[in-house]
Amino acid sequence: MGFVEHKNHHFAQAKSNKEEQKSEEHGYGDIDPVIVRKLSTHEKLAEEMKQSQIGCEALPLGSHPIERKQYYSQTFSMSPKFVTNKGLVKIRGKNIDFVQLLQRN
Amino acid sequence: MSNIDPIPLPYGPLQYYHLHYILQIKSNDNNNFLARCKPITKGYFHSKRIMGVKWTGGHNFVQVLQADDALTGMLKEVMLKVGEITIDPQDDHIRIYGKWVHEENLAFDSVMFEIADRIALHIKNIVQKKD
Repeated sequence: MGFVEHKNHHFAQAKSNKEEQKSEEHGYGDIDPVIVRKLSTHEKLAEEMKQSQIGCEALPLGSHPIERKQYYSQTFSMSPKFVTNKGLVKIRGKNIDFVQLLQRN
Repeated sequence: MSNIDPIPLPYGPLQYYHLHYILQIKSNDNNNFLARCKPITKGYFHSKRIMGVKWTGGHNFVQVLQADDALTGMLKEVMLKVGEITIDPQDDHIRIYGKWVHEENLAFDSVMFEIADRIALHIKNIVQKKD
Protein backbone atom coordinates (compact mmCIF):
# COMPACT_ATOMS: atom_id res chain seq x y z
CA MET A 1 0.00 0.00 0.00
CA GLY A 2 2.79 2.34 1.00
CA PHE A 3 4.69 1.45 -2.13
CA VAL A 4 1.74 2.40 -4.35
CA GLU A 5 1.39 5.76 -2.62
CA HIS A 6 5.07 6.49 -3.08
CA LYS A 7 4.83 5.58 -6.73
CA ASN A 8 1.84 7.91 -7.31
CA HIS A 9 3.56 10.76 -5.54
CA HIS A 10 6.70 10.27 -7.58
CA PHE A 11 4.67 10.30 -10.79
CA ALA A 12 2.85 13.49 -9.77
CA GLN A 13 6.12 15.22 -8.88
CA ALA A 14 7.62 14.26 -12.22
CA LYS A 15 4.55 15.63 -14.00
CA SER A 16 4.71 18.95 -12.14
CA ASN A 17 8.42 19.29 -12.92
CA LYS A 18 7.61 18.80 -16.60
CA GLU A 19 4.89 21.49 -16.42
CA GLU A 20 7.29 23.91 -14.74
CA GLN A 21 9.83 23.33 -17.48
CA LYS A 22 7.16 23.88 -20.13
CA SER A 23 5.96 27.13 -18.55
CA GLU A 24 9.51 28.45 -18.34
CA GLU A 25 10.06 27.63 -22.00
CA HIS A 26 6.87 29.43 -23.05
CA GLY A 27 7.18 32.26 -20.53
CA TYR A 28 4.07 31.39 -18.44
CA GLY A 29 5.94 32.24 -15.21
CA ASP A 30 5.95 35.97 -16.04
CA ILE A 31 2.15 36.41 -15.75
CA ASP A 32 1.17 38.77 -12.93
CA PRO A 33 -1.37 37.41 -10.46
CA VAL A 34 -4.95 38.57 -11.08
CA ILE A 35 -6.43 40.05 -7.89
CA VAL A 36 -10.23 39.92 -7.74
CA ARG A 37 -11.83 42.21 -5.15
CA LYS A 38 -15.40 41.34 -4.25
CA LEU A 39 -17.56 44.48 -3.93
CA SER A 40 -20.73 44.61 -1.88
CA THR A 41 -23.89 46.07 -3.46
CA HIS A 42 -23.50 49.56 -2.00
CA GLU A 43 -19.84 49.68 -3.01
CA LYS A 44 -20.84 48.84 -6.59
CA LEU A 45 -23.39 51.65 -6.42
CA ALA A 46 -20.71 54.06 -5.20
CA GLU A 47 -18.47 53.05 -8.11
CA GLU A 48 -21.32 53.79 -10.56
CA MET A 49 -21.82 57.20 -8.92
CA LYS A 50 -18.14 58.01 -9.24
CA GLN A 51 -18.37 57.23 -12.96
CA SER A 52 -21.16 59.85 -13.15
CA GLN A 53 -18.79 62.46 -11.63
CA ILE A 54 -20.48 62.45 -8.21
CA GLY A 55 -18.17 62.67 -5.21
CA CYS A 56 -19.09 59.83 -2.86
CA GLU A 57 -17.73 57.25 -0.46
CA ALA A 58 -19.19 53.86 0.52
CA LEU A 59 -19.28 53.68 4.33
CA PRO A 60 -18.66 50.42 6.21
CA LEU A 61 -21.86 48.56 7.04
CA GLY A 62 -23.49 49.75 10.29
CA SER A 63 -20.95 52.52 10.89
CA HIS A 64 -23.41 55.46 10.79
CA PRO A 65 -26.15 56.13 13.40
CA ILE A 66 -28.73 56.68 10.63
CA GLU A 67 -28.50 52.94 9.87
CA ARG A 68 -29.73 52.12 13.37
CA LYS A 69 -32.90 54.24 13.13
CA GLN A 70 -36.22 53.51 11.47
CA TYR A 71 -36.05 53.51 7.68
CA TYR A 72 -39.72 54.40 7.14
CA SER A 73 -41.98 56.76 9.07
CA GLN A 74 -44.93 54.37 8.44
CA THR A 75 -47.08 57.40 7.53
CA PHE A 76 -47.81 55.98 4.09
CA SER A 77 -49.79 52.80 3.68
CA MET A 78 -47.88 49.83 2.22
CA SER A 79 -44.66 50.96 3.92
CA PRO A 80 -42.59 47.81 4.50
CA LYS A 81 -41.91 46.61 8.06
CA PHE A 82 -39.07 44.17 7.42
CA VAL A 83 -36.11 45.37 5.41
CA THR A 84 -32.37 44.73 5.48
CA ASN A 85 -29.84 47.53 5.36
CA LYS A 86 -27.37 46.87 2.55
CA GLY A 87 -25.17 49.91 3.11
CA LEU A 88 -24.84 53.66 3.09
CA VAL A 89 -23.03 55.90 0.59
CA LYS A 90 -21.94 59.36 1.72
CA ILE A 91 -22.35 62.08 -0.93
CA ARG A 92 -20.07 65.11 -1.11
CA GLY A 93 -20.86 68.51 -2.63
CA LYS A 94 -24.60 67.97 -3.19
CA ASN A 95 -27.81 68.77 -1.31
CA ILE A 96 -28.36 65.07 -0.67
CA ASP A 97 -26.19 63.79 2.19
CA PHE A 98 -26.52 60.01 1.90
CA VAL A 99 -27.85 57.27 -0.36
CA GLN A 100 -29.00 54.13 1.43
CA LEU A 101 -29.68 50.77 -0.13
CA LEU A 102 -32.36 48.54 1.46
CA GLN A 103 -33.41 45.01 0.59
CA ARG A 104 -36.95 43.77 1.05
CA ASN A 105 -37.60 40.82 3.38
CA MET B 1 -32.11 16.19 -10.86
CA SER B 2 -32.16 18.72 -8.03
CA ASN B 3 -34.64 18.32 -5.20
CA ILE B 4 -37.14 21.18 -5.13
CA ASP B 5 -38.33 22.08 -1.64
CA PRO B 6 -42.13 21.54 -1.65
CA ILE B 7 -42.58 23.87 1.35
CA PRO B 8 -40.26 26.88 0.83
CA LEU B 9 -39.55 29.16 3.78
CA PRO B 10 -42.02 32.08 3.88
CA TYR B 11 -39.34 34.55 5.03
CA GLY B 12 -35.90 35.79 4.07
CA PRO B 13 -34.56 38.53 1.81
CA LEU B 14 -36.31 39.05 -1.51
CA GLN B 15 -34.65 40.21 -4.75
CA TYR B 16 -36.08 43.73 -4.45
CA TYR B 17 -34.13 46.81 -3.47
CA HIS B 18 -35.02 50.35 -2.42
CA LEU B 19 -32.74 53.30 -2.98
CA HIS B 20 -33.22 56.08 -0.41
CA TYR B 21 -31.83 59.57 -1.00
CA ILE B 22 -31.37 61.03 2.48
CA LEU B 23 -31.21 64.70 3.43
CA GLN B 24 -30.00 65.31 6.99
CA ILE B 25 -31.99 68.25 8.30
CA LYS B 26 -33.39 68.92 11.76
CA SER B 27 -36.29 71.34 12.08
CA ASN B 28 -39.62 71.57 13.87
CA ASP B 29 -41.44 71.54 10.52
CA ASN B 30 -40.04 68.28 9.16
CA ASN B 31 -43.53 66.74 9.17
CA ASN B 32 -44.74 69.36 6.68
CA PHE B 33 -42.49 67.89 4.00
CA LEU B 34 -44.59 64.77 3.63
CA ALA B 35 -45.43 64.43 -0.08
CA ARG B 36 -45.90 61.98 -2.91
CA CYS B 37 -45.66 62.44 -6.67
CA LYS B 38 -47.75 60.41 -9.11
CA PRO B 39 -47.76 60.62 -12.91
CA ILE B 40 -50.72 61.70 -15.04
CA THR B 41 -50.67 59.26 -17.95
CA LYS B 42 -52.43 58.74 -21.25
CA GLY B 43 -52.76 55.47 -23.17
CA TYR B 44 -51.84 51.92 -22.21
CA PHE B 45 -48.87 49.58 -22.58
CA HIS B 46 -46.53 50.71 -25.42
CA SER B 47 -48.56 53.84 -26.13
CA LYS B 48 -48.47 54.97 -22.47
CA ARG B 49 -47.26 58.57 -22.20
CA ILE B 50 -46.64 60.89 -19.24
CA MET B 51 -48.75 64.03 -19.61
CA GLY B 52 -47.81 65.60 -16.30
CA VAL B 53 -47.14 64.94 -12.63
CA LYS B 54 -49.30 65.52 -9.58
CA TRP B 55 -47.91 66.21 -6.13
CA THR B 56 -50.01 65.48 -3.05
CA GLY B 57 -49.10 66.35 0.53
CA GLY B 58 -48.35 69.41 2.68
CA HIS B 59 -50.00 72.42 0.96
CA ASN B 60 -47.15 74.99 0.81
CA PHE B 61 -44.42 72.47 0.04
CA VAL B 62 -46.43 70.83 -2.74
CA GLN B 63 -47.10 74.23 -4.33
CA VAL B 64 -43.35 74.93 -4.45
CA LEU B 65 -42.64 71.56 -6.09
CA GLN B 66 -45.49 71.85 -8.57
CA ALA B 67 -44.32 75.33 -9.61
CA ASP B 68 -40.80 74.12 -10.48
CA ASP B 69 -40.91 73.53 -14.25
CA ALA B 70 -37.38 72.11 -14.46
CA LEU B 71 -38.28 69.52 -11.81
CA THR B 72 -41.49 68.63 -13.65
CA GLY B 73 -39.52 68.16 -16.88
CA MET B 74 -37.09 65.78 -15.19
CA LEU B 75 -39.95 63.91 -13.50
CA LYS B 76 -41.68 63.37 -16.85
CA GLU B 77 -38.50 61.67 -18.06
CA VAL B 78 -38.32 59.08 -15.27
CA MET B 79 -41.86 58.60 -14.02
CA LEU B 80 -42.66 55.83 -16.49
CA LYS B 81 -39.80 53.82 -15.01
CA VAL B 82 -39.87 54.98 -11.36
CA GLY B 83 -43.67 54.95 -10.97
CA GLU B 84 -43.96 57.29 -8.01
CA ILE B 85 -41.72 59.38 -5.77
CA THR B 86 -42.27 59.62 -2.03
CA ILE B 87 -40.86 62.17 0.37
CA ASP B 88 -40.87 60.58 3.82
CA PRO B 89 -39.78 62.93 6.64
CA GLN B 90 -38.48 61.74 10.00
CA ASP B 91 -37.22 63.59 13.10
CA ASP B 92 -33.71 64.44 11.95
CA HIS B 93 -33.66 63.48 8.29
CA ILE B 94 -35.86 63.30 5.19
CA ARG B 95 -35.93 60.32 2.84
CA ILE B 96 -36.78 60.53 -0.86
CA TYR B 97 -37.42 57.28 -2.70
CA GLY B 98 -39.18 55.68 -5.64
CA LYS B 99 -40.58 52.18 -6.05
CA TRP B 100 -38.91 48.84 -5.28
CA VAL B 101 -36.48 47.74 -7.97
CA HIS B 102 -35.69 44.14 -8.92
CA GLU B 103 -32.01 43.26 -8.53
CA GLU B 104 -31.71 42.79 -12.31
CA ASN B 105 -32.62 46.47 -12.81
CA LEU B 106 -30.68 47.82 -9.84
CA ALA B 107 -28.42 50.59 -11.14
CA PHE B 108 -27.60 54.18 -10.34
CA ASP B 109 -29.92 56.61 -12.14
CA SER B 110 -28.35 60.06 -12.58
CA VAL B 111 -31.71 61.73 -13.47
CA MET B 112 -33.35 60.35 -10.33
CA PHE B 113 -30.37 61.62 -8.33
CA GLU B 114 -30.81 65.10 -9.86
CA ILE B 115 -34.52 65.03 -8.97
CA ALA B 116 -33.79 64.08 -5.35
CA ASP B 117 -31.09 66.76 -5.21
CA ARG B 118 -33.50 69.43 -6.48
CA ILE B 119 -36.20 68.40 -3.98
CA ALA B 120 -33.58 68.59 -1.21
CA LEU B 121 -32.66 72.09 -2.40
CA HIS B 122 -36.32 73.21 -2.10
CA ILE B 123 -36.54 71.72 1.41
CA LYS B 124 -33.35 73.52 2.49
CA ASN B 125 -34.63 76.83 1.07
CA ILE B 126 -37.96 76.52 2.91
CA VAL B 127 -36.24 75.69 6.23
CA GLN B 128 -33.77 78.58 5.81
CA LYS B 129 -36.60 81.04 5.09
CA LYS B 130 -38.43 80.00 8.26
CA ASP B 131 -35.26 80.32 10.38
